[in-house]
Amino acid sequence: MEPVLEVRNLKKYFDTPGGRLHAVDDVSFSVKKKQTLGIVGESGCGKSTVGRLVLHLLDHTGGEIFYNGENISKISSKRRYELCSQMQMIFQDPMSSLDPRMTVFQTIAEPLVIFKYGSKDKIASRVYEIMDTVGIARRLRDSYPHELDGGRRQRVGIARALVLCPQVIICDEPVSALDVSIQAQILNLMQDLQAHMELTYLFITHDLSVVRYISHEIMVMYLGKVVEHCEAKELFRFPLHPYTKALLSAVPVPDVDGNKGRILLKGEITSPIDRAPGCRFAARCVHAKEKCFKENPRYREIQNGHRAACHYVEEINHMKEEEKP
Amino acid sequence: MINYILKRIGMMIPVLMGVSLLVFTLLHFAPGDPARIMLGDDAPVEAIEAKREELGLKDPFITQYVRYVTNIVTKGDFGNSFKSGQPVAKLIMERYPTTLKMAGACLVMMIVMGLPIGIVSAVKQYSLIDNLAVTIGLVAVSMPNFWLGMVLIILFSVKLRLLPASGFYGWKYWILPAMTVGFSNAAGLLRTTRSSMLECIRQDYVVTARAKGQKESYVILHHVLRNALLPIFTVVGISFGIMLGGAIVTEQIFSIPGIGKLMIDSINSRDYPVVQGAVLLVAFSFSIINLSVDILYSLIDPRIKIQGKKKERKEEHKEVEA
Repeated sequence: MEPVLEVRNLKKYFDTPGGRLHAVDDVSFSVKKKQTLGIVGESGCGKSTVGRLVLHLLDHTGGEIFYNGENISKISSKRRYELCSQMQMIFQDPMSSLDPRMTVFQTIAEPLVIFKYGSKDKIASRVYEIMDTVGIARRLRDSYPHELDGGRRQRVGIARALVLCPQVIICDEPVSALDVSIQAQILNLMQDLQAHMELTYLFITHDLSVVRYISHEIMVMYLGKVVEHCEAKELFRFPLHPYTKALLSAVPVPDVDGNKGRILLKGEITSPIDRAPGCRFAARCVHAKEKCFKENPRYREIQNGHRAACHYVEEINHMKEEEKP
Repeated sequence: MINYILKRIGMMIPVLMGVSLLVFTLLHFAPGDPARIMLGDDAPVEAIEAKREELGLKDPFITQYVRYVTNIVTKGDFGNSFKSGQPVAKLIMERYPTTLKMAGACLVMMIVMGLPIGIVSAVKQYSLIDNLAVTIGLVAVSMPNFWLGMVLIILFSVKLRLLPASGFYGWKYWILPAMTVGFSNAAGLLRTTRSSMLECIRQDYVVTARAKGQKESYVILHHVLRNALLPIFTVVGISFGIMLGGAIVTEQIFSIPGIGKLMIDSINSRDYPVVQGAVLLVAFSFSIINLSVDILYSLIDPRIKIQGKKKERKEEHKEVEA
């Protein structure tokens, strides 16, 4: 199946007073229709920046973005405007991502007005339709964001993103700001909507349980680089990269006796400013050797569809294999 | 809403009482004798004493104050000017329209100069325009009005001979004073607009608006400016209140027959009733402006609910929740 969204060698550098910050460095991935790609990583690893670059909310420094085969890396503002109806974003904090001066109805209707959807009645009926779809009671139409609870607010954010029937939705930590009970509701809603409206998700999060639940494929990022990318089940079963292993070992397991094999990372995250060559994870990696500090590891396919960026990935995992009883 | 406004107007009464007491006390203890100033230094002591008796200045302080307030409340009588003998209310009302016009012109000048530059400054932060605007703003805030007024007179009236230097007879006479007062206030407005806009411009809902495909100009004016309006209104309100009190120094420089000049002249001649009346009017104008700004707040920000109305909304909301 043709990928809906494909990104090749995407780069984003910020020039800061301290030097050049490599926020996103050589990131490539593709997402197929009706699939969910989860992007995980710790704070500051560039996962949100990737989302914003894809939507042209930020200009990228280098690389290419393809949407349905069309190269959209350098597009006119008119084309960008048209693409807004096909690619949308759901933000982390619905309180701050909704304009506090606009009612629920106005917020959801705004994209329809921008894209000249039709008469007032037509717009109103579409707004009510989408409100029903995402489960916002119609009586809340004149409420302001501060009058709603977190779950309802995020439903408004989702309704707003979906009202133009886009194909790709970039979800930037859509449930991180919500209570756990509400998180499940919203995730289920998003899965239902995916099936119902044939949506493709780019799901950015730092919550591994969430990403496991919702994603088909998962991409792990560390300091602006992709370190591992494979199917969700595979990643949780056989993580290859030492960073992914450490990350997964941090997931709490509901078992009193189990999960003693936690890998603790030492040291601070290295500065992404003016990087010298070498693996970015080397300073914190338990397996790091001399080569890791000198040479950039290639991001390559290790086994069918499972990609990772590590010089010694075979060695490390071979070792593991032997240790297994 | 109406209840709220009535309540707020009711609350003005203690404020005005306080102001009148304060002014009355200060004037009472201020050096200088109105009777002596009226009759001249050479007047015989008996004549001055008789004049003091006539003006009621010999009574105890409390008696004088109570008489003053009672006259206002019961007869709407603010007393007569010591100097001209005319009723204070009439003197003030002759001058007030001029001050109103001046304040209006200054306000327009302030908004026209301050708001657009502030918006551009915030949108293009750290650009050449922004740096220039911030620097000029700082200079403008630091310039005293009397100095700027004189510089403008020298430049436009004396050297270029384009605009009249003093008086108040037509639109040409308004330009220089409005520029003088407007300029420094515009600088304040510019700085407030800029910082308030910068705060909002980084908010997620601005990114949301851009992600919706909204035009940049609309994003700035509709999503950013609307949310940044609160501090801007506060600054405009306070400035307008001060302008309504008469730009005292500016009116003096340009010889504009407004409230400010009236106040200065009356203070010089120890014309107590006129000073008191003028100060009360200024306090009243300020309170009205404050009230209007508060009402405007609730109109531009749905999170601020006017009291009285709040309860209704809450109940309504509870119903909805149930």
